[in-house]
Amino acid sequence: MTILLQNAVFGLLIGGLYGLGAVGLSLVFGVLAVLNVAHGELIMLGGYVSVWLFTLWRVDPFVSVLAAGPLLFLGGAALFRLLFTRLASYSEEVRIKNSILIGFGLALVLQTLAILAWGADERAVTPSYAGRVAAIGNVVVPLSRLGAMALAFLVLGGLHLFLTRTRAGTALRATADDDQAATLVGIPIGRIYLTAFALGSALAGVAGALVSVSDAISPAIGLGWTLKALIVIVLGGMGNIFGTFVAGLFLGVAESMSGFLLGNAYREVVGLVMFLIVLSVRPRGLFSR
Amino acid sequence: MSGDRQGLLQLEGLTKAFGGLLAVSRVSFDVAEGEILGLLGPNGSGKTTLLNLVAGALRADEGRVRLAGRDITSLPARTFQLVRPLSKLSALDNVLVARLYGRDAPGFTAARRESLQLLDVVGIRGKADAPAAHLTLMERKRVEIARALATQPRVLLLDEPLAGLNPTEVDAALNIFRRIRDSGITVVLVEHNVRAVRALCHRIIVLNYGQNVVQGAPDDVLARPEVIEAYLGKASADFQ
Amino acid sequence: MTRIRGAAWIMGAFVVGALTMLPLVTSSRSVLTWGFLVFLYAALAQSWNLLGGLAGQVSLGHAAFFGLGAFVTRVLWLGGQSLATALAAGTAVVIAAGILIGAPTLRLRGPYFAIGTLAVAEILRITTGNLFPEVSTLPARSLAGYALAPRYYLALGAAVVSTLVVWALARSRFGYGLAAVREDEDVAEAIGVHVFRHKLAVFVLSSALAGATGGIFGYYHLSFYPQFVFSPLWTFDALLITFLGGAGTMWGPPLGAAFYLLFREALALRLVEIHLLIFGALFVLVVLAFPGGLIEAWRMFASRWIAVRERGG
Repeated sequence: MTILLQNAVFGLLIGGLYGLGAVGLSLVFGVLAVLNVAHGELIMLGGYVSVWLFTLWRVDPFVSVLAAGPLLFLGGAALFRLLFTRLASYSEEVRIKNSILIGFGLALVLQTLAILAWGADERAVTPSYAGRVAAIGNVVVPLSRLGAMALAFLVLGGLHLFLTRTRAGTALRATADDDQAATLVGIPIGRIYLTAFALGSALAGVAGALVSVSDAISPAIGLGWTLKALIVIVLGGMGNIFGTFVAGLFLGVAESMSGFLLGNAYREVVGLVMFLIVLSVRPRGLFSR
Repeated sequence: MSGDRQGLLQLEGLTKAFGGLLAVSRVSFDVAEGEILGLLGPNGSGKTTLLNLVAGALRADEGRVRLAGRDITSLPARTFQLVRPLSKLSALDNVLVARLYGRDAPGFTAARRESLQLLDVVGIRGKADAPAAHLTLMERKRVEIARALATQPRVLLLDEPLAGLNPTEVDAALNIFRRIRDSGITVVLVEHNVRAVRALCHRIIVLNYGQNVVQGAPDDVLARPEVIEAYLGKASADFQ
Repeated sequence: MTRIRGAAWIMGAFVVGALTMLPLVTSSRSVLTWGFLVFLYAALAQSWNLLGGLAGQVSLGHAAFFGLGAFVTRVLWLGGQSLATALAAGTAVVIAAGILIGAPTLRLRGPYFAIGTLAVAEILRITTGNLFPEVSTLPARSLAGYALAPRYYLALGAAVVSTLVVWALARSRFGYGLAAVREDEDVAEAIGVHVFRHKLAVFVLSSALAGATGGIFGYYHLSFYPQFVFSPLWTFDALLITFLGGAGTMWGPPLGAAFYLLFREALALRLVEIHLLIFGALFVLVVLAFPGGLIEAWRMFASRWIAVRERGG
């Protein structure tokens, strides 16, 4: 019983990051109808920002979040200008299809760049509090993971406030709902696209830095994170931040439990199978626009 | 024309309501084999709804549709509607794919030959290899018509094929339709352009408020005061 | 246009003839290996081209079928079956998998099909890695009699066959139906094309060719981890080569494969990863700016050249 509870706690803690990792992708897909399958690589880059700052100047990974977010925001803006602006003129179907292809190529480029820059091995940050835990009864809670989860929750709350309480956020939501109508009411749609993509990338960067708090970073982790983000989006519903967060927690717990019951090697498979089941019940996805 | 002879296409008391609005109300008529029947009526008179009922795109609330005696009222959508061309394929390929999957489809070589003939009929054989996206609106309409013919439908349903064309283009289109008429195909034509209807159709049915108001030969029907009244102020200029 | 096509055919026949002779005139391992890889990648890309190029269904799970074919063929072959039996059985398993995987995923539209196939491939990759963690190495008796020529001919055959399949499809009723499906599924259905049946048929055909190509790789490669043949890189290579050469064209994949391997070998001498970087960027560039690939560029060049010549003569 304690072991089950322990696994559930671990699952919840990692699941918070799954939600944060997915919300950027969901935002970009919702606003631009661009499916950036290189989203996981952006998370990986966010992780390397933290690893790098730690290696160079011993910067605490929680502080690195403040660098990873803005850096990936700028990087995302540049990628959008370079690769995705041209897609805006296509019909939605063509846009999605081409964005998948472009994202596929981009993922390879980013992964290879990471290998060239930092090598193919895993890198980890080792802050002084790594390994410290709080014990509640017999259940152990790693403090670094708890902190990452809390910060993920805060960022998602901030995003929610931004989308609902600010002018730019409202314009973003209007564009996601109907970009033609948004254009008609005078929303500068090109700038909204850029903002959405940059913001989505920044969220990936923040997620990556938080991942580095307690997990090793390597150039190869991107695809896994992209898949997790897609699973979470399909489970949680599109454009629903709260739903995304809950779906992230759910995926985390499901992985953790199945890892415990079926063996650690199968934890990834469970999410993918859930994903396929949901898709086959709702062929256009739970997040059909 | 439809007197005692059984029509190829028979409509019996077709009725369709949207919410409380009766779009088509107890419409009955026959279309004989080889006949070109024109459906006229002001906007909102139920012409397009009626066409969709016949095509199976909409389900009738009441009434029957029979094709060659067989009840097809509740079969799924079956009839070719004018749809957008496949823009990256050439004009010829657009027609060819329809011929290959149409009724009584021949082998590949014969289908290709027939498709070229159809492009000839609609007068754009010279553009056979051009991608549909590069064609003008008029040329695309011709491709669509050739493609509709290529499926060899028992009955060809045309919903305002002349819409959006300028007068010169209408003349060109009329020539095409005359050739199609002379090939003996059965056509139900919904069209606003009265001149076109007069020139092409063997018989006209005028709908108003979803009901079959008048039918008969074009010149007789178009001379009837109630028909002129139904159109007055809207398209009266077309009568000349 | 006809003249260019005729010339291409004669050139193609000549090239295949010359390639058939190659093992007779040289026994250079590096030359034959390079040839083998070009054919292998050409066949793999061509199999993706059937599905993605002709029918417009962008699958990101192609590695699943390549891997399954490679794995099953190799296990049976190393288990003592004849190569022909192993290849046939491997392909048969892949056909069955193609039906099982295609039937549900092809109902998904747009991005969901791409992601769904990727998810299936990843499930297979992870599960295979878990179930068969041991590296698969050819036993000493096989190594002693290992000859490159039969592998070379098999791969050449796969490349030629898959290219001929694309050629035949492009001028068949089925091929035209696929083109209609690719351009507009609603219109295709209105014309009378049974969209789902067409998609499933081409999916299974494409999987079978990928599986057979995988089987040849399983027969060729000295030692690999079973997980390796399911790596998403196989899918990426197939996409890259197809788009580089020209998606939906017949000559695109073989041309793209030759180009890809030429540069990969040249670059690999300097730095192993750099070719991935360059080709990843090149792929993005092709998707963005030259959707017709090398073939389109060649056609433009050729028709201009003819125009110039005719004006001159």
